[in-house]
Amino acid sequence: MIKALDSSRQAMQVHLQRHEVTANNLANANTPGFKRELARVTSVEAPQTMVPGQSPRFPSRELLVEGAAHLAGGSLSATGNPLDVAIAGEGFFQVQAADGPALTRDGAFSLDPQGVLIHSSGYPVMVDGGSIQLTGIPSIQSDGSILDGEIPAGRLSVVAPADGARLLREGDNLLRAEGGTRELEIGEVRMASGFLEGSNVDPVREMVNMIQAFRVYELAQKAAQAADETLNVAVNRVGVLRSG
Amino acid sequence: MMRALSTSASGMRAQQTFVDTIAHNLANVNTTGFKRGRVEFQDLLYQIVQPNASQTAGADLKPIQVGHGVRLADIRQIFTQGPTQVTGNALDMAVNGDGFFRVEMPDGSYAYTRDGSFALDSEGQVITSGGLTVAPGFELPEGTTEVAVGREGEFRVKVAGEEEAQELGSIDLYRFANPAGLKAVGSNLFLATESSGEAQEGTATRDGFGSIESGILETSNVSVVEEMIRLIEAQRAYELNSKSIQTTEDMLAVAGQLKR
Repeated sequence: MIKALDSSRQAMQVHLQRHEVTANNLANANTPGFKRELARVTSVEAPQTMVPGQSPRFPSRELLVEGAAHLAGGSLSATGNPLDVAIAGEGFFQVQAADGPALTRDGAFSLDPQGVLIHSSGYPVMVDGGSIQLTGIPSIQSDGSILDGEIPAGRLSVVAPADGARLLREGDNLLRAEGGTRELEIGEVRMASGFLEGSNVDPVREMVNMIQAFRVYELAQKAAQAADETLNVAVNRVGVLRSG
Repeated sequence: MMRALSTSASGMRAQQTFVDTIAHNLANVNTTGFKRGRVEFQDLLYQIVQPNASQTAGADLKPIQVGHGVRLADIRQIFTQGPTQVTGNALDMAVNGDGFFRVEMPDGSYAYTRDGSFALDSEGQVITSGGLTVAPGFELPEGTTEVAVGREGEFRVKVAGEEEAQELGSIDLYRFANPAGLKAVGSNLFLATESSGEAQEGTATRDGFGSIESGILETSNVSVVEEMIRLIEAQRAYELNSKSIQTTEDMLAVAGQLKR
């Protein structure tokens, strides 16, 4: 019976986490280049406490939520700003963060007082593996090459996470690839300057997820109450002697 | 539990700022030389939730990262060229390019503007609609009958009784490495900041400063259709976040009913 209570607790915890993920996705419904987090409930064999000499008790599994960034593209909107760039298809811009290169799909770039091309987090955008300082009126071509006035100044570094790499979120619209990245070549990248990629959060999907998480949470609570009810009988009714 | 509440609250706050900015843009849809603002959002920090079971040997798990919502990164002015409007008044000027006019503030400091609806004061000084002197400062001689401004900003006047027009000087233009870093201070004026960089002085029609078009005004670069679409986006996102708060509250209530 106590096991049933514990199962309900796990289900409630797990679906609460799912709801938290949905809440974060919705909060970022208008964040440029945001990729929604996919939450998946799964279960693993729980560690068994084996009593020597006894056969294991019924196998128990533990619920948990797995997550991954959903990399589908967000919708592109025209802004007319020459330093707004969107990648059509796969790939990430690279940004020189304090502790190494980070990835982003947020292409709302600007210039700092020294004319260095920067990301909205304030870190320099990586161009040919370094940063770039612009003096003229910049424009960005569809293959990612940057013109400083009319002079070619370099090409925006675009990378894809290596196969099997895991994307970790850092906040400030930055991601980090755990497991390495691979550089995308000129033919593999297509960009649109004057466009921004929106968030790929789909409100319908998020609302459905929210309803699901809420109802399962509610059901798990009912299961816990039922278990509690049974325990109540066991504790308070069994062994009561009828008087009279 | 309460993480979802504050996450959704951050979402509502962000969308509120989004609506505020749209309202400000729409209010200035007919303001001469106005540059629309754009809000930029960033996601907040993430926490990796490690389930106990991940210590299980051999399990290749991808623990979920739970975020804490969104924050406002910046409201950036977008300095795209606004549409022009022909007025026929020689003292109305539009910059066709990146340059700004410079005006002198009452305290002697400088501000920059794209609003070229200039006029004369009682002493013949060229001033902005707000009464500030336009750099480098022109004083029209008495008896001026005609004023003409060329594309390079050369300021010519014709005085009654004289055949030849005389040139008083030229209107300088100023440019910034990062105009998005300028600080808007109202009255169509911008101040240079550390982020925009120092103003670079230049001559119209050269080096991308743009030409000065006399008899024309640059109107606001706000597009009503675009702002309305953003407004829909902002309002719906606001609504979704409020639904999320309601759901979180319902979940709290469910948890509260566990114990009878």
